[in-house]
This record gives sequence, structure tokens and C-alpha cells, in this order.
Amino acid sequence: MAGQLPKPGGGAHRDETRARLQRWKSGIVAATAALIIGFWAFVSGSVANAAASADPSAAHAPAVTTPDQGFFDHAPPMSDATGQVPVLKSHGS
Amino acid sequence: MTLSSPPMSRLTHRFRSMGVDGVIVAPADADEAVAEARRTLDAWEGRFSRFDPASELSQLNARAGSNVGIPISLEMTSAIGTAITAARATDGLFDPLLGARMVELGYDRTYEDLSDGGTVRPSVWVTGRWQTIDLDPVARTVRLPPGTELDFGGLAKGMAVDDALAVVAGVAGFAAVSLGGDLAVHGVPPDRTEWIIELDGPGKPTVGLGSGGLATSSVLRRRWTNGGVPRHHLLDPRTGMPAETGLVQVTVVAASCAQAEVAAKASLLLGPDRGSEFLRDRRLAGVLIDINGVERRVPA
Repeated sequence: MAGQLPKPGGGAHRDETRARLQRWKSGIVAATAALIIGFWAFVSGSVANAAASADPSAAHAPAVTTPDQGFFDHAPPMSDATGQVPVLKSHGS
Repeated sequence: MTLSSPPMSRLTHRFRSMGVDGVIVAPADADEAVAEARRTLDAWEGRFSRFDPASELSQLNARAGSNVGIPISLEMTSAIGTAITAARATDGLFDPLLGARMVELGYDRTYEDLSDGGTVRPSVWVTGRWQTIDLDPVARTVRLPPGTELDFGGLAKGMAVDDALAVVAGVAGFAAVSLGGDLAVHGVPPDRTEWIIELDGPGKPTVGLGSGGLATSSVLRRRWTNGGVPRHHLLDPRTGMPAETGLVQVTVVAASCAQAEVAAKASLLLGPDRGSEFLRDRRLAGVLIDINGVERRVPA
């Protein structure tokens, strides 16, 4: 190969190709991971739905330890008010 | 307060609405707003009564099990959406699909007209069917599962109270709206520092609140017999039967009357300890009274 000039940009081309391959590899790994996570979530959801369908009470068990703040807003305080003349009555209905 | 600046007089308006006694307290010069608030309550009753065959609720219930979405009003869409949110927030302790079960147990007409009727041995109960309500809030349609009936119970009453209060609050410095003792308040009358509410129970306990709503859930009222078996209107969605939890009455103070209604019912269904825990977890204040008349207060 003596006297043969290197192809213009040959080394740079190899570097770029190697980098591109590396990016593809990273992309494939990320996509595979996303697929696995998605499949796992799908299977988990299906199992949970199937369990709930089979036993509605299981999905219905009260869990007072996980308050849902989506419905109850910050509540005002309630005082004792002992001995004061009431304006209204609340007896339940 | 001096004699030269007497407090603005407050008027108490009494009426019947949604099958219970209604009260609106407002300044004497808020008559027009009070009249509009009463029309608001009438509109709620007309739309949400399950005893009026012409109401939107009755018409909708008659089509439960339909394969296609039933067109509904904006108000009904809002109420069903709120009911589903409330059911989720209480893990189904608030259940908007107890209507058919209530009828089965004999509560098939207004309480004033109730007689001993219904099925003594009710059918097998399936829990959590509210999860299959198919609401499309954009298209404003809903599909109810077959064999069910919507019954908003206290929630519709609470929403009606909140709506009516908003009407009066728009023009008055203070107001309170109450339906059967479930109420919401705005501002405070000039001669008061807070609204004082008397509850049922030994010694007639009182509570005070400066804003928000208050509701009481009780098994001491709306009782009837069904084939000789005593019943009351507070069904436990976990069993489909009238609740027996060790509590007879729970009063809750919340940001609105609708929220207080849902919390009071859920707390009563959970019993003394878990009911108190439910309120504490959500930072709601309440008064719980057990079957022995012992009162327990939960601060917010």
C-alpha cells in the first residue's frame, strides 16, 4: 500500500459509523427495556382486572390508609361551641 | 357593636324541599336571592328525585342496562362524575348505585308514604358495580349496568345546598342553607363569631363553624319495617344491607356540604375507630356518636 494515499475522510468516516452503531445499540436497548416494562404493566393490569372481576369485594375492600385527596378539599375547623345558642340544627336525614 | 350601628337583621326562611325541612338564613334585604336559591333547590329536586317518574333520574334509571349511551343533562353529568369521584375517594363506601337495592328492601316511595313492604329475603348482593358506570362527560352520555338504579342519596342534597348557597352568597355578606340539617354557610352574621349548630344526641351537643359545609349521617331516622324486619336507609355497600357498625350518627365539617355528606356516610359505615381514622387521615373534623350515646370528637 506504499505510496497509496488514504481515502479522503476515511478515518473520520469509520469513527462516525462506529458512533452511529453505538447510538443504534443504545436505542435498541432502550426500546427493548420500554417494551419489557410495557408488557409487564399490561400483564399486571390484566391480572389485577381479572382478580377484581372474579372477586369484586377484593377490589372493593376499604383502605383508609390511602386517602384520596381528589375529592376532599382542605376542611375548615370545627369549634366546640359549648353553651352557645344554636342558629341551626343538624339531626341527620 | 354600638347602638348607632345595629346589626343587619337576619331572616330565617323555612320550607320543604327534597322531602326534608329546608332553612335559609340570610340578611333581610336578600329576599330576591333567597327566592332564586329556592328555585335552585326546586330544580335539583325536579331533576334528581327518584320518586318522581318524570324526573331525569327516574327516566335514566328506567333505561339501565341500555347498550347505548343515554344522553343526559350537564347537571346530571356533573352529579354522576362527582358521585364516581366520591366512590373512588371512599373505596366504594359511598356507592351511587344503591337505588335498586333500597327499593328491594322496601324504601320504594317517599319516606312519609312508606309502609311495610319490599322483599324480606333480598337477592344476592354484588359489590362495586359503580365501577362499571360508563360516563362520557364530553358527549354527555351514560350507560348504567343492568338491574341497577342511581340514587345519589345525600350527595345530591349536598350539591343542591352548595349550589343554593352560592346563589345567596353572590349578593349577601352572610348566609346559610340547610336541607334536613345538612348545610353550608357563607360569612358570619354580624351578631355572631361563627355559626352554631345543634346536633342530635345526649345533651344536644353543639359545634361551631365559620365556613364550609356540615352534614350528619344517622341511622336513627328514616327507619321502617320490611316484612316485620327493622330497616334503615343507610345501606352498607359491602353487604347491601342496613349498616350496623356501632355508630348511630356522624357529623362532619368539610369544605362543602357535598363533601361533608360523603365523609359522614363513609365514617359511619366504618365504625368508631376506623371512622375516626378516616376523618383524621383526610383532616376532616367530626362528631361520632356510638350506640351507647358516647360522643367522640375528631378535630380537623
